[in-house]
Amino acid sequence: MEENIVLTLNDKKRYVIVARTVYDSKEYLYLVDINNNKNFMFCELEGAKLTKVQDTELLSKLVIELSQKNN
Amino acid sequence: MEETFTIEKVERKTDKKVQRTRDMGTVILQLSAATISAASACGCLKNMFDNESLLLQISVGICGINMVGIFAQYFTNFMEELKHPTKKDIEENALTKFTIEKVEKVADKEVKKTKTKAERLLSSLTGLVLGTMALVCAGVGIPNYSANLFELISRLFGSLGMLARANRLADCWNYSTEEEKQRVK
Repeated sequence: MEENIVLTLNDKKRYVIVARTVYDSKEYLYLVDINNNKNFMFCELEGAKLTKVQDTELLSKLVIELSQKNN
Repeated sequence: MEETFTIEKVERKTDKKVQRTRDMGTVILQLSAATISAASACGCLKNMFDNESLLLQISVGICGINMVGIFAQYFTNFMEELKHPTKKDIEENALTKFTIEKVEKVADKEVKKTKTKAERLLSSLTGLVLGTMALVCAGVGIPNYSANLFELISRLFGSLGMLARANRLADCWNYSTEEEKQRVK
């Protein structure tokens, strides 16, 4: 079985890294909550800090980029 | 307002729950990408034809193909998993409580029914893809078409890729049928 990385964040929830990409010199992660798969988010990673992406235009670009990487 | 989090712990895991979360996340991601692609192809077509009913039919077709492909991939993975159960899976699986004869009879009927459905689905999807491709080829002949045509073609080839995955699902079903036949013998 494939090895997966699980992150525990300061909201005390555990998230699986489903995909990651570098876009515009920034690193982005696509995270899905282990206990509630409906809770997912796209975040920008800077060190140990994650910032949730909220810009819809950037989100749609990231979705395409990440889905191609994940294929 | 900006939402930020900090990473408190990083673990490497290989258990099934984590794998299923990843699979589900992949399905959500692919569905979102398919929807965005369909909307983008929709925009390209609007420039080319400026005909809204035609546009609607084609975008629904592309979106449908993508979605079927994605679900096909998901179920193929699921069935692959079923084909290679671990010792623990077999021990935990309630089906082992039935006699082999009983399982074979039910499975054979169900597999036959599902196979027919899959064949019908595949033939209609092939028709849909070929029809869409023919339409695009016809579009090449239209003067002053948009440069976005190339983007549209690449999206359609993406859809064909998804169709190939649907084919993989059918192979998987065929494999199951053959396996059931062997068991009966």
